[in-house]
Amino acid sequence: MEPPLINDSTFSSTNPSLSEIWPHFPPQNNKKRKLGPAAASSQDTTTSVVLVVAGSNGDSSNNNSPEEQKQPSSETHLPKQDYIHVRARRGQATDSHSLAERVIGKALVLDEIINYIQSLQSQVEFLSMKLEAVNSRLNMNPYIECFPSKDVGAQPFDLSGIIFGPQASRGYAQGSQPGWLHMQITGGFNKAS
Amino acid sequence: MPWRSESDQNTYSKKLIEALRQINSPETTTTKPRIAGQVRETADRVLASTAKGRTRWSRAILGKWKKLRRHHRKVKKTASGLNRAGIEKERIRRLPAVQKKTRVLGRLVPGCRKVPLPNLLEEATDYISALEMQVRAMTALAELLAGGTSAGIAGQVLS
Repeated sequence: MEPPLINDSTFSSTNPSLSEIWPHFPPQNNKKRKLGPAAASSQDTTTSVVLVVAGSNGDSSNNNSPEEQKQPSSETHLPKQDYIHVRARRGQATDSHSLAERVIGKALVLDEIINYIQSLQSQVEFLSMKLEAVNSRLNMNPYIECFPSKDVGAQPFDLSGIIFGPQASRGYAQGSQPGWLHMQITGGFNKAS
Repeated sequence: MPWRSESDQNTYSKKLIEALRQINSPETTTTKPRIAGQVRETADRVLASTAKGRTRWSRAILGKWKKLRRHHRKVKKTASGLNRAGIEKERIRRLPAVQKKTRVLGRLVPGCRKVPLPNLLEEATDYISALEMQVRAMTALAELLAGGTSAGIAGQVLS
């Protein structure tokens, strides 16, 4: 698939919500920049509006537009740049070529969003089926994972410490929740005994 | 950022565990039959309630769940909704790609079918962050429950 040609103004400040999705998009999209030598040859003669993927640094060559938009603005000064941002000349923002490119760009972005949401939703579906299987296993064997009452009751136990592993010490105050967890465990255990 | 903090994830995990325990408890297993996809519904409902009503999609999920409680079955489309959808589809085929995709996106995000594009993108942004958190929390929970020694301890919490 040939590299997408996306107009710069598609992702400008008129669409603030898009800049929230990709916060690293360079804000200077209204300044004029010099065209690199590689870009000149692929330009169409009627407009100078195109956002061109001139080369790749090897890590973004397979990804689609959202990945490319994350390039930090400092990279645009390097001779080997991935993007050449050029503002439209007066009267050419509504040129048919640039309009078409803008529409294609928006469609690609929407495609990415749709695919991502679909993949997240199917992950949730898969995980919930897994949890359902675990639940039914627990229901069938209520006593299989019993612990002797002496051990469980004696120590203050932190389940979220297990869930979140070593990260728990960073943000989560372990001392603040023992009451809830203690209730959980004694409550659960009372049913089994 | 709203869904990236540890406290949000912890809140969600705890609420989810509580809700899953309720599914397993003797009272609900005898009074209500086992519904397929119950865990998914529960997970989504808990996610929506963690949003604290800030977003349209979360209010839509909670609204759907309230309807389900009353009717005990899924209400997918009303008759009038189907008629309108038939006419809409005709017009939609002639619309440009962007508007087609906007409609698809509106169907994916709960409760956002008729929302205009800028607001739809805001809702989608928040929805994506929430889904990512949901996946992180449920993955951790599933791993915990399916694992080795810690599975026994966690199993107690759920039963």
